[in-house]
Amino acid sequence: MASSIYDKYDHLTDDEKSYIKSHPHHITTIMKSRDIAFSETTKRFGYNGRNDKSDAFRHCFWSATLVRDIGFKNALEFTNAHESSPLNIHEEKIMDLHNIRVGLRIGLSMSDNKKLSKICNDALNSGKLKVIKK
Amino acid sequence: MKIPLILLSLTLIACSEPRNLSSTTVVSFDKKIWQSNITSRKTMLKDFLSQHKFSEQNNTSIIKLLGKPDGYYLYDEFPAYRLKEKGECIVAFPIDRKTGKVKEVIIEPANCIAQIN
Repeated sequence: MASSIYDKYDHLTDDEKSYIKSHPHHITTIMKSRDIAFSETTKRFGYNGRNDKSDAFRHCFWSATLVRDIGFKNALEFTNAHESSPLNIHEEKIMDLHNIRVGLRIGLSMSDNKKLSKICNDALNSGKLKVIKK
Repeated sequence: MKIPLILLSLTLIACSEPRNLSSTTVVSFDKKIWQSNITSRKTMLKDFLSQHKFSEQNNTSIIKLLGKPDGYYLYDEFPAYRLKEKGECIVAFPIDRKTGKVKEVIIEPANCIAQIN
């Protein structure tokens, strides 16, 4: 995604802004990890969809890279903040949080992007990730 | 006189369609076709935006007008629609969390419509 950090900052949830205020040194890593998750999903699925397999994979892979890059506790805090918007539809939030939890555990392997991507894809194919739109 | 001119320019910029739509062929917006044919969306987008002022819309009204979102832009609560079957090209309607209204219309990546044409 081509938008700058400043464009994206404006869209953050209040909880995400609060996290960034207390961890300003993480902003570049977090924004970069989103872009990497987005392009890895495009590479595997051809697009970034919603509530489907590509969505499940993206959340898993994104949270896995975050654990490796900012640590488990911070990744858990930030991903919770990401899903904290009251506008987020309940069923979709449940799906995203589940896939994030799986990704957080996968991230503990501290593997490189290629391996994290494969483990998340394997988790998807073995039914460990939640998908609303089959 | 300078200040009103600046304000007018800012208003025109704020209310206008995304710049990257200007060279697109225009076809009348049809909800059924929009929902059933992803590749036709790019040609209907300009007409859709001329019929519906985005700043007056919210998440619910966008979904009512365009159907269930099938794309992704930063957050699930920002309706996003794919403009291409394969590869990245979406139109997204980020919501201002304070007002609940659509803040802007984003085409991402910015030059993707030109690449489809």
